[in-house]
Amino acid sequence: MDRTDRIRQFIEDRFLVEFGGEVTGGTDLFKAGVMDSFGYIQLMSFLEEEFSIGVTDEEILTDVFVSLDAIDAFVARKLAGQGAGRGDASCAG
Amino acid sequence: MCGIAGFLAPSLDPGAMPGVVTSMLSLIRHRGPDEAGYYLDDGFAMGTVRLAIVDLASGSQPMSDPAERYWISFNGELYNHLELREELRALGRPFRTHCDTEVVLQAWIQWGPECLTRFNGAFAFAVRDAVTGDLFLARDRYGKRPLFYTEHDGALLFASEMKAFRAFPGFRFTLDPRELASVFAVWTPLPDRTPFEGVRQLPMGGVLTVRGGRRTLRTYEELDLTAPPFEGSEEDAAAFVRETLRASVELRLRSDVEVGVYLSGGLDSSVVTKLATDLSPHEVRTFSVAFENAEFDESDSQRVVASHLGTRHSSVTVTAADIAEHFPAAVHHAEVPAFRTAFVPMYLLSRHVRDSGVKTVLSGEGADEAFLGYSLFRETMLRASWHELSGEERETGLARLHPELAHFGPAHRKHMAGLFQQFSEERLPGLFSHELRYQNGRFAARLLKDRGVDPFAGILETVRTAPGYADLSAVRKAQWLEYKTLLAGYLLSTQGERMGLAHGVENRCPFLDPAVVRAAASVNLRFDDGSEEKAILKKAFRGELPASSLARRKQPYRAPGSAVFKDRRPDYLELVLSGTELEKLGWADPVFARKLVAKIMTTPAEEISTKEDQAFVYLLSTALLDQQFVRDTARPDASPEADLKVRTVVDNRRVLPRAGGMR
Repeated sequence: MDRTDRIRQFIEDRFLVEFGGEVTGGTDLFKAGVMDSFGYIQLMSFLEEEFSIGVTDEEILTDVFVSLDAIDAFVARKLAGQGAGRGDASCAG
Repeated sequence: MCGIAGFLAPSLDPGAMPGVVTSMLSLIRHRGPDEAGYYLDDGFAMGTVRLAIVDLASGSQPMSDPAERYWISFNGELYNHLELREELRALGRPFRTHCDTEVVLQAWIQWGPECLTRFNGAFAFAVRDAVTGDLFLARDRYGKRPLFYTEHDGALLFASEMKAFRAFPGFRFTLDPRELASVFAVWTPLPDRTPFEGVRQLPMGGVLTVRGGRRTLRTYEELDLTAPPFEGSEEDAAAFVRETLRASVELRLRSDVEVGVYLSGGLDSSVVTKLATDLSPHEVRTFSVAFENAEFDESDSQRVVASHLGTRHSSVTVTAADIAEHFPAAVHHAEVPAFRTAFVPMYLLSRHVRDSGVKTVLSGEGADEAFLGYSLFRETMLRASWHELSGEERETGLARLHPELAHFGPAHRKHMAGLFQQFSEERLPGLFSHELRYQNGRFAARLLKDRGVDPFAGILETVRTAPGYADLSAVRKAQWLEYKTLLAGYLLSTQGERMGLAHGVENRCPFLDPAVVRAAASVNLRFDDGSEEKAILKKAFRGELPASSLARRKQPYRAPGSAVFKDRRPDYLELVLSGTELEKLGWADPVFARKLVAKIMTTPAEEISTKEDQAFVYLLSTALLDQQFVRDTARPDASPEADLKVRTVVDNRRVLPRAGGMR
């Protein structure tokens, strides 16, 4: 399962939603009633643990964490950055 | 306290009128088991089921003035009736009883609807002018007593509880998906709405006039949460709060029957208990809910306060099985979808109170709204100033608001900061303070088949048109919303009035005295730096309540949620477990409903989020309402033929019943 699928699956399982119908990758998950405050905290913890990435204070104060596409792109950027820095793309794990 | 019901129905067969009005009253007889009465006029009927509390002997209703021109059906209590009686007497108004109902009527005759602003009480009533045929319906300023109305086949029906409408020929309930969407998102019906199509509620502080077939609805008093900041010292403010509350409790102890107190163990009810024990000439009885499940139980705190203040204390211990067993009956009395189960123990508590021989109690409702006791208020202050704060100030603010974050470590705090950042801009105009809560409510709105409905349309319109609302600060807006939605729409009604009156128990709320609300508004932001909940209220009663009660962090009153149904699987759970039953609910999306129910039934309770738990309780309670009110296949309280103790019948009809026209 690739990165996007893992994030999608987490959101689908956790928030009882299916992407593809009314909810798409670009949907604001707060506005659509998919994600709540409890879910947001869970999602952030999931991203940090699942992809071994650290989200900085600065990054967390942006509004990218509200749609699947934006979250996925953010994780991709983080992983690429880690890979470039460490020379080891597999740490995305 | 009582229940009222009636109709303006020019085309109803006069022969059917007595039967219809008594059937309506029978359906709400739990509100006033002591006696009943009704008044008939051409095309008009109204009646009262009475819970006799003031002037037990001569306060029967409907009541008229000596000239028998004006007739009143009154539900509630007028706490300042002695003062108004003197004023009216000085103006030459005649009195035949010692009852507050007569004061309301005479005030109405003397001052017209303007009298409403003079009233300090909890009430809803109907006044009929027999000469002009005019009808007036009015409700107290904070919405403590209910009054519903609807139109059916050219008739206007009104009643303290909607279920009374069922007795009117041809009337049928239909759940309104637009209103359900709003209820699910906002947690309660909007101030003038109900979940049923075409059924409205008189708004708090509202008066409906029916004159010559024309209806006019107006608000005689708007909710006012502004007051000049208190000018004295903090000590002076504490004394001011103490004295204002003392006067409020004193007024609410006026009664010809014993007045008890609901004691939760928290600050607010302890304050009320303290003042009641100071002011009452008799030993005060206190009543509490205890839970078998230690997670929800507050018995220890209750016992500490009761023992400290020397009350005669008793409690009812509620189990998860009790909640599952009585849930349908409590929903039937609540008449609206519920998002938590905490109202069911209150239903059992009022039964216990009534069995103890007490029918009036004081409660601490309204304190959190007045004195900014909810974390929502402090959260709003923090979010509103988020962009002006340094990183360090944000951290301090979050740590104060969520002390539990320290336990989860820095990552959690960082995530919470991200969440606050997401909600530091207003997304729903005028609803900044409640956006986090309302976004969670969108989840439950997914239970509805019709996704085209905007669940926020109603609340956005409500705040857009509320006089003065746009000029309020973020925290005052939060307060306004709490008064108008959660307090009136759930705490005072579903969890309060309706559960009390299910067993003929009246509740009185000293924190909802206009003078207390004004006093709180003048002090609550003046001395509050956000670091301590209800700091002024605590200061006002320091030394008079146990130190442990004052030091205790606020614990919201809670009861076990979806787990009680999951573990016991009561028969009625079939309404949401069975795919066939779910399909029968015209308003529900069976696919999402099934998914939600499956998760609740198969997931450990600790892994169920609050919004999922809440959505499940909404689904189940709405399915029960559908069954009880719409499909009419289950009535936990159904025995309308049960005899009313009819004491007053006044028949002023000149039009005779049609031959063979009885219903």
